[in-house]
Amino acid sequence: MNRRRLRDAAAALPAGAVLIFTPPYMRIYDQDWTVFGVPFLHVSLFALWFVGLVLSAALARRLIADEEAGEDGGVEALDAPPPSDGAEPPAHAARGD
Amino acid sequence: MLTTGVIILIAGVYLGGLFLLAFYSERRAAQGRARFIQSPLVYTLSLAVYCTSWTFYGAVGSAARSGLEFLTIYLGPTIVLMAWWLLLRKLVRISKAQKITSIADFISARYGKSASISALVTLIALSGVAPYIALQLKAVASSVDALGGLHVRTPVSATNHGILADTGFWVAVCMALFTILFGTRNQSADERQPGIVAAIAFESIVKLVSLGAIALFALYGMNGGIADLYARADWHAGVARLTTLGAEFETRWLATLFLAAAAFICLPRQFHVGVVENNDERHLATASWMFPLYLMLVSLFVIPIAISGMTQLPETANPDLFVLTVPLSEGRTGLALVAFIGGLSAATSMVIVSSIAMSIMISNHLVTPLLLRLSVFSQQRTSDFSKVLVLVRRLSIIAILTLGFIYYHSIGTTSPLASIGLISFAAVAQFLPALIGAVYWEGGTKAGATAGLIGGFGLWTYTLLLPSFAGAGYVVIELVESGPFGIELLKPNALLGLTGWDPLVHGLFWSLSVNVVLFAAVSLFSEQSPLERLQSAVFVDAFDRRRTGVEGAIPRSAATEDLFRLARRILGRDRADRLFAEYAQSVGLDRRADLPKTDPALIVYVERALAGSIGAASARSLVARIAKGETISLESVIQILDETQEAIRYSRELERKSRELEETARQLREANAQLTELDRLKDDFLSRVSHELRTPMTSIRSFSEMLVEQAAQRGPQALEGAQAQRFLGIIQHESVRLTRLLDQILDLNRMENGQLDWEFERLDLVDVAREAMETMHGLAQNSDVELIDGLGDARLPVLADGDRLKQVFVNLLSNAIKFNDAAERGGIGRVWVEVDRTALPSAGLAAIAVRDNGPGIPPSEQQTLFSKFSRGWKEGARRPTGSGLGLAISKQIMLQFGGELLLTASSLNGSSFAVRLTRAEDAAERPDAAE
Repeated sequence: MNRRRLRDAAAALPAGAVLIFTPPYMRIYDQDWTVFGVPFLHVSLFALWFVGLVLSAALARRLIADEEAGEDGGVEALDAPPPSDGAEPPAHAARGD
Repeated sequence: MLTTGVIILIAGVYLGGLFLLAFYSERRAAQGRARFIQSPLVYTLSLAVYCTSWTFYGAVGSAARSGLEFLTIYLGPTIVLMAWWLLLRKLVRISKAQKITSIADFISARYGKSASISALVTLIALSGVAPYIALQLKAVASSVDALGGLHVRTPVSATNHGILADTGFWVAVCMALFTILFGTRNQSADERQPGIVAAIAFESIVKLVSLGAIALFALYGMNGGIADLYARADWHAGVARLTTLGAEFETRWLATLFLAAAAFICLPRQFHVGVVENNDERHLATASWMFPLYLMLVSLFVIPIAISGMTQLPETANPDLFVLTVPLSEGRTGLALVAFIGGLSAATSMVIVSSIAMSIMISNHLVTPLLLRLSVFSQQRTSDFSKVLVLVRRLSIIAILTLGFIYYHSIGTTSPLASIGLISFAAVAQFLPALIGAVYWEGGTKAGATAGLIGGFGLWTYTLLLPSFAGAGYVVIELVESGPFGIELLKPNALLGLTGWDPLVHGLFWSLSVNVVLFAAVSLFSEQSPLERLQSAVFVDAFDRRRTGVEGAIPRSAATEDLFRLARRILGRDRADRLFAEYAQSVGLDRRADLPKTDPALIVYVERALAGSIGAASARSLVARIAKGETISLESVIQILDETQEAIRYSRELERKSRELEETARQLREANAQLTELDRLKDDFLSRVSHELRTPMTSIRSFSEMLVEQAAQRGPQALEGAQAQRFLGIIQHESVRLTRLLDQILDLNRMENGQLDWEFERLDLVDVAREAMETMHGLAQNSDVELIDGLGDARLPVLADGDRLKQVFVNLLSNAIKFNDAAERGGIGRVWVEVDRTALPSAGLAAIAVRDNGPGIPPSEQQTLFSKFSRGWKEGARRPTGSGLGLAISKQIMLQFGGELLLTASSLNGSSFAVRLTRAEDAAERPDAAE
């Protein structure tokens, strides 16, 4: 997955989660069936929850790997964090007189 | 049944153990040996401070009362963490850069480091957190009572016996002590507190394990597994709430989902552990799945406990205490004790972190600004302010817990835990518009944020807090029932006639909609101060590296000595010395004394460091007192921002220009290489020409010298001898050859320069080839080479100069005949002339191939075959060679016709040349069509 798609996915995943866990969809899970004695509503909610966090884990790994790979220059790398913890060194930029 | 004394002893032992753990971790961390505390796992577990006793006891109660709605409290944060890349990462990045100490500090820093807005946020947070702390006190107190068998079957009531007999009072006192001992050991909020973090993480494990144990007991101790649990539930009407969705669950579901998501960011303690205490953005990536996993497990554990409680306990049992009463009902006191410890963990971790976060906010945003106004503290000579700060923090903790206790004592015992918690959530959710606006909308102003916060908070108080007091049976009950002054339209539960709504949804709707509208509208009609403008750009473009350091561009000057004195006063001697030593080192100096007398970057540096201790607003006002030239105009700020934009554009422009220069240089290098090559070719050509001319010239010269010599010796008659005649013949032959060579060179030269006149006419390539074959017939016979006409009746109409075209064929044929060595190899020399089939696929080409079975052209010669004076056949070959210009001329001729001359194949068994021209279809067919 390229960088752009990765970042789009980072926004799409929570958006999808909102959709899945809110009313119109919630009604769909509310069925009379049971799975091994467990109401379908419980099974589907927790299954979706689990799938969501698995996707989140996969995405998070790639995002971090991508960010670490992208730190060496390039226009897109402007998004990358500063090399060290950023806050501690004084603003050298201001000393450019 | 345990006595209250034993329970308190156990709780004391547990808290003591926790204290030791925190103490030990802090020691290890001080020695730099507690790396595990900085791991993503510990970060995730510290986020789990979200799960308070509301979760531990209240979620089960909520599940039993209102069904699956309890899930939203855990789904909300799950979604927020899944969106970590969009929001939390940005909050963390900004907070690190700005040394943010709390959510109030964050909002204040964005809206121009305003002291008033941070005080407002602190007050709202305090109002929101007090009920929440009351909830913890209530939960622990009732759990102690339940475990001690005081009021197992009835709702807990502790108000009858006076404060000292109230379990909740002693719980509050214990927690205040614990928090003061731990939370205020460090003077600065930005310094991490490893002891606290370790304790919180440990408690998160305890509560998960404990809840899991009760859930397993409910599943297998009281029921025969999952299927049995649900099977028994079928007999119970209440459980249906938990296994299906209610008829109108939608609005409350959406409202609580939103509240939980908002609270997960806006609650002071969540902001503290999630953003302020975060020390690595990558921890968020791990937490983005690990924390949802934690929440999912918690939710999973809640369900069997709730179902068991409903199906197997008497109807009168308090659902909020199911976690305890489920094992107690089976006589499992040990297990109940495990549950009690879990609940205690949940409560203590929440109270500790909340009161630490709140004490930082109170001391930084309420007390410090006031103290700094007092003349005692504003004098330069005043000694260490940091000690005062610690004292203020400790008093704040006591104040917060007192407030929580008052709320608990007055009303907290009647409402269910979840409803108290949701009221708190709604209070802190008022920060959301200002917070989101802070990081995504540059146009939000301080006035807008203030108006939104005040409006939202006012409506929250009126529609949510007030009715909660009324429920406890106070005078406000009349106001809630019939509206102020009997005006129905102003009833807190049905504002402007919106009746029939759920009170929570109603209150949330009014407070947040007014909040958002005021924030947006007032922002549109108010101006930003210069500092606000600057901060808004820094916040919104947090990921733009070019924006960092913008603040240093504000023209200010302050004496280094003054800054040092200020830092010492606020941060204490040691920290100030360390701070300046680090700064000196970072700019490449050895000691503080080497620093220049004034240094603009140092001002920013010191202000940040102070902000990390007392908040951005106070830090700014302190630095402003000693820094000159601070008053900046909006114009100059916009100019600074524009200048950085300009600098970016300028550097882009430079980049582009340097790319262009590089390109030009590359082209120049190429042109130079071409020129050098041409120059070399020219030299080459000249030397070859000289060489070619020299051979005939030498023979002419030597033979003429011989004739001159003979004439000198024997008189004129010597020239009449046969030998002399032969010499003259050679001389004539050589001069003819010389002339022809020169003609050819001139010819070629004219052709290359395009100076030759061409007479294009329509003709047939086949006819031209046949003519050439006839011409070469004699030579072929003399050389015993067979000329084979394989053209058949093909017609290949072209536009060309007939004589020149024939010259090409003659040249090819003569080469093929002259150099044919098939006879020597025991065969018959053959030359074929035929239509070139290889060129057929590309339509519109007329092509003829001249093929021989001669020696072929070695690969090394093929490259230069068509250049001047090249001889594909070895120099000094058996037969006399031509001028070496034939093929070069032929190639030039073909190029002039827009065609080509190619060597299509060559091997030891012969070679094949192709003459290709554009087929002149029209020219050939038009006459036919006309006839």
